[in-house]
Amino acid sequence: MREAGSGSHDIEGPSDSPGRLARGQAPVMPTKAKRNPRRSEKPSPVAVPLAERLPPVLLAWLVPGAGHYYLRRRRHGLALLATIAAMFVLGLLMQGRMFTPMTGDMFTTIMTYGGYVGDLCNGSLYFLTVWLGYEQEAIPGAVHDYGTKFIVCSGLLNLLAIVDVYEIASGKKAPA
Amino acid sequence: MFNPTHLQAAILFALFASTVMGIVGRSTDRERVYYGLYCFVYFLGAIFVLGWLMRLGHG
Repeated sequence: MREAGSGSHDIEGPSDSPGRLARGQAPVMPTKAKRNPRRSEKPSPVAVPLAERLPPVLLAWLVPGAGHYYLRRRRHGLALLATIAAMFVLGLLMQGRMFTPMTGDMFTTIMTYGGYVGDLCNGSLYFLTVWLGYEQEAIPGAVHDYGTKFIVCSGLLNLLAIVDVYEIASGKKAPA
Repeated sequence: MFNPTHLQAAILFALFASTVMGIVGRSTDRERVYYGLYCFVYFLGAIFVLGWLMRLGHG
């Protein structure tokens, strides 16, 4: 039972509980590190330095499949290059149009900027085509529209490949 | 100039998209092939169903 006058040193609970302090002993407050000592020892999920992750990602953007090739997944890199380049070239053969960013109403802005980003994701395929002077006017017709979509979608598929390269280079994806 | 029909363009798109999704979506070669085929079949199914829906919707 609790003794009279001993309440000033109790933390809480009855006097026979293990939380009772001896007379004159200062209470010690637990710190976060003591509550969970493993938390600070847990390794960061991304242990690979940025300097090692960046080159394959840049390569994957510039040349579709080159990031996988650089990371010694050569068959995958060649398959990605063949697929994405074929889609891009078919889009050009269908006289697809490259997007130019334009501002105006919200729909126009989203469509043109989104399409432009999709085109840019093709990397060197896009830059080479523009540098060689490919310029297509907007022609009415379903086939030309398919061509435009093929060019944008090849860029978006390359974006998927870039994300995959990043995950491989970061060690987040298991080796093949 | 390449001048495909609607169906040919849609099947080509399905082929390219499922190839890339198969490569980046799984971690072993066997799983990649199965996942690529799975995506391709679902693309074809969607083309078939949506094509018929548009056909019936137009009357």
